[in-house]
Amino acid sequence: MRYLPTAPSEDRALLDAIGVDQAEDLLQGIPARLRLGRELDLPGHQSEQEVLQLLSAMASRNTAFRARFLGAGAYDHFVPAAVDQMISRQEWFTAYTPYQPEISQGTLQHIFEYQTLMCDLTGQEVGNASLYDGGSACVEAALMAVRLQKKRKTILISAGLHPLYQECLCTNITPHEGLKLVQVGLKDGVTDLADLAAKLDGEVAAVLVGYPNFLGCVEDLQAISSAAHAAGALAVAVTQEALAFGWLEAPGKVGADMACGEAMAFGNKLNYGGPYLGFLAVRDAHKRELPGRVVGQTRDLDGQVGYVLTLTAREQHIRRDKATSNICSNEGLVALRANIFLQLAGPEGLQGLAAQNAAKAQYLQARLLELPDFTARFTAPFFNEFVTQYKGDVKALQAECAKAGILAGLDLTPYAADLKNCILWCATELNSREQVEALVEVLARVPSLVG
Amino acid sequence: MYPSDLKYTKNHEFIRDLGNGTAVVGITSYAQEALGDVVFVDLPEVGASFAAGAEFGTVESVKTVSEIFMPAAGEVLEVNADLESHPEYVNEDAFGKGWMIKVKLAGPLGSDLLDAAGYEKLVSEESH
Amino acid sequence: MTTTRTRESLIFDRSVPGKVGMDLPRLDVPAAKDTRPAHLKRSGFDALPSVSEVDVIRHFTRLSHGNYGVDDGMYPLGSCTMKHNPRLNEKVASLPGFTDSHPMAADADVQGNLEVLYTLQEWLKEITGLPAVTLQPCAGAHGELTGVMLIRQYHLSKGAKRRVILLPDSAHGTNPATAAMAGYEVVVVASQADGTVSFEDVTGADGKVQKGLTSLLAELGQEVAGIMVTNPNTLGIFEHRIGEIAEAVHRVGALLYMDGANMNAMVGVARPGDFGVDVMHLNLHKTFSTPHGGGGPGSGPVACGKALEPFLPRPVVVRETAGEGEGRVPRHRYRMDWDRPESIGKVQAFNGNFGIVVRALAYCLSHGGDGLKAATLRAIVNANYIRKELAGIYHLEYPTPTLHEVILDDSYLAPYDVHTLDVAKGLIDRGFHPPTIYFPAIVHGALMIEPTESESKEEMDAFIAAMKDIAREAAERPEALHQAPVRVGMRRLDETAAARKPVLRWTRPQA
Repeated sequence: MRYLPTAPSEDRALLDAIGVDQAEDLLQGIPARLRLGRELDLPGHQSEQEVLQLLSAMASRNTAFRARFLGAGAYDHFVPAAVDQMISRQEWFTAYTPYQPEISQGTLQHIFEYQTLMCDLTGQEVGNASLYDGGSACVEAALMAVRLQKKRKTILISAGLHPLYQECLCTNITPHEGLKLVQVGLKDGVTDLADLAAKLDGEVAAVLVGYPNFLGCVEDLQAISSAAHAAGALAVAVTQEALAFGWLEAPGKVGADMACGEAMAFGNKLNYGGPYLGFLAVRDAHKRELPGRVVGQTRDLDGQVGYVLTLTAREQHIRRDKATSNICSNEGLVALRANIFLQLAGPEGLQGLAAQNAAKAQYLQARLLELPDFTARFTAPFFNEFVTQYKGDVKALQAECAKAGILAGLDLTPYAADLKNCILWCATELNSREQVEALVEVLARVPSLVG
Repeated sequence: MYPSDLKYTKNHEFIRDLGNGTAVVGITSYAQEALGDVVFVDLPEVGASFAAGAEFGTVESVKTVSEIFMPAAGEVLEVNADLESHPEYVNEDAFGKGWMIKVKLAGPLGSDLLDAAGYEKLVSEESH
Repeated sequence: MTTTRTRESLIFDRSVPGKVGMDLPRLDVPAAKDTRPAHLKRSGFDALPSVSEVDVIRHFTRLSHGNYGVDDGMYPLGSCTMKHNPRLNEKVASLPGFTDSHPMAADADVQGNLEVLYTLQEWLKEITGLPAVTLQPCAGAHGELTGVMLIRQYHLSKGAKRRVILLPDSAHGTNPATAAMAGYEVVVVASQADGTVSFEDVTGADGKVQKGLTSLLAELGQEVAGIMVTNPNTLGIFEHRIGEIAEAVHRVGALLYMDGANMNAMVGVARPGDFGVDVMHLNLHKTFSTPHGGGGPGSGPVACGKALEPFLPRPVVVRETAGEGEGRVPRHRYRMDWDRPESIGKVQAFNGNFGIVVRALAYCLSHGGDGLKAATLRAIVNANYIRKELAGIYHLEYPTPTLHEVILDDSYLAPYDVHTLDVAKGLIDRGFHPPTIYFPAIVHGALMIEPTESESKEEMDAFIAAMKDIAREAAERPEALHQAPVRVGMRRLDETAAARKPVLRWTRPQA
């Protein structure tokens, strides 16, 4: 067994040193009647070659699309070779949580830089080392807002938030007696400001709004934040496609008190939904209620600048049932990927990539709207995702695309009555003009239901 | 060893009766020693009222957080604003510039509070 | 890691306007029309650096020198199970078939992924002895929260609203934090000196009586939703009365949650489902070798009994009738079942940390049932070897049999004013990552050592020699240990200053 350092002479030497005949003699700590009296009913050990073959075969049973036009919280972006190469260094990926700071300065300094960059992107002052994903980031943001607001127990969530984030919120807020989640409706694909005003009362701790929202629409975050503040509520921007920060103003600069969401866009592949990268960044005045790990700068005994985990009194290992969260392990290595990616991109790269994404999406939309069965569903500006109304059956369209090796946009029919046969399309820098033309060609062949 | 003009609780808070129906509350020098370097003190808002024995705040060191409890019932009149930027005052001078809150007492101090000698005895028993 | 390093500055200090680390592809479509409202246009960045690829590679390479990893040597953190991270696992997780699959693609297009999820679930069912598994939680704490929410939903489905979760004071901090996040009140059960749950009341040295399980269940009865037990507990000791704990809580209609962080002592040897556990979590990044990544990503699957299965997060992977396949391998069809009316909902937006699940499956397939059991036995042998060699030099807190980890403490060094922290820093200077220190808190000056099965006798002997050397130095030159570490390019850091005046990001120096 290649991972175990067993060898007859070594095994014997260890057992002799301990003073037992066989390893099983050391199991007296487990009462015999509680032990499994048989071998595990599982296949026997296998070589690297065999395991690789088995798993490669499984991987090959996934459809390999040649073009993808699906986003909806998981974005297909280019991953620079340097990201994959760098994180494969054992010092990065095998290391534990940096509890012994003297031998974890690599991880600690990287997190400090990453926190800095997430604050820069979001226009906030304090960020944490990461959360699990966009869905759980919304949960942590909502719970933090309630802690800050003490007596206010209602959380308003725009119907434009990702439906799966909304479900995470529901699952995690429901166990808290007295906390209420109230949905604010949409009008033409963005939060209905009249409905928001009607629901903003003295009970509201925070308003969560997508930026851009699930339908790809850019919300007027400033207007929403002002409305929230006027009612004494906190404004929380939820960004599921973090590349949008290369195109849209930082949420903190247009009134958001907290910015959270999903940053898998930075240096990660789709990976069937995980591991991803939840983020949360807040105002300095609120930092003591921030969940998750936080790294701070300090000096060592020689006066050298160094980094440590700090504000740890908020966390579970000290505060226990009064902790800001139970989170311990987070998405450390994914944050490292994002950090490396962002540093490679820099301001020019990030804005350039974002501009390309916007260009590709606009081009895709323009070409789709030339087809008789497609109309634009909303009028709001969009970043790299938008919705079209389709006159035919979306399932049939998706099947046609799949036959041609194309992963089409998301069928929105299940999500709302007024989204029947609507499709959420995404285009990124990875979608070439040829791919768009190939898609349009396939769609043009689908029997039209118009005229 | 411990100021004789103060009264003490078993949880290592002190209370200084100012004689005019108000008092100053904080934690003792023994408490700050046990906590280590104080990094943050979370105090209530002016106007908040607490019963005797109720938790009114927390003291954080790098590795621990301790709740602080009211030695007597009262309403918060003043909070030591210096502690926000100088939490180390609690370590340097727990009974003096490390004071935490000033309260309007709801009634006379309880008889369960310890005097300096009683507190000293408690501390010597606890350190064994 | 290397022990000599010149200090690597922050990347921001290296930024020079005009430098780029990324070239963009040629835009093959018209440039975007700017549809952004004026006030929502990106106005720029204050910190994002302008550096070249060379700068970035050098930066992260040099930073990495400041990290000690599992490939450097023994990393004996108790209850963290820092075993070897097989490279095969990294390779399979990078297969394009997996990395390029979209979480919202149709089931028909991700049959390989569903098979991965289903297969690991089946392995975990056999290992835990529990019939249902979810792979959606992303870490141990996340799994705990999921498990406790399952308990909550179970009671609600019976029309009951129970308000209390019991747990021993030896519990890991995530346990009470989890209970609070799930809306429960935490009541601490007395533990014996060895950290195991006490049925009887325990009178402490201060005369205070802490209630044991029997009185708490008698007093609280149907208010108790469940008890959270770590097994083996945080001191590495098996809860030998766990069968009775299960019976006692079941009698009041409550459930038994097991924190499976220490499962490395039990795989193939004992199964929680067999001794009354109703729901538990596992840590794939501990027991199942997936890498720690400097703080994640992990994965915290939850396994549970039939009674809790309806409440599992959705969707749930199901396997449908076996189809025709090539060769002798039956080809099944897999499906994500969203029709789960009693589900608690979702704890992660998609399907959990799939990339970590793939690695764990590779680990399981590589070891096989026989290898998994062999790993457990070797982990136990290794911990006992270290115990044998160090007991007497360090104080052994508990004479009870050691499983996969051993707890020592610093009391023999007290006469020299040398403490656990100094021992840890002394180990750093001798080229080792320290064990877990000061946890669990019920042991004063705890040093919790978990070698795992990956360590050879040679590696352990080097660690043992270092520990003996430290004990000797404590007696001869304690001041050297107080100053440690001195050999790794960073001295002890001022954590007080970091907390008093937090500096949590770089900001551009004012002109």
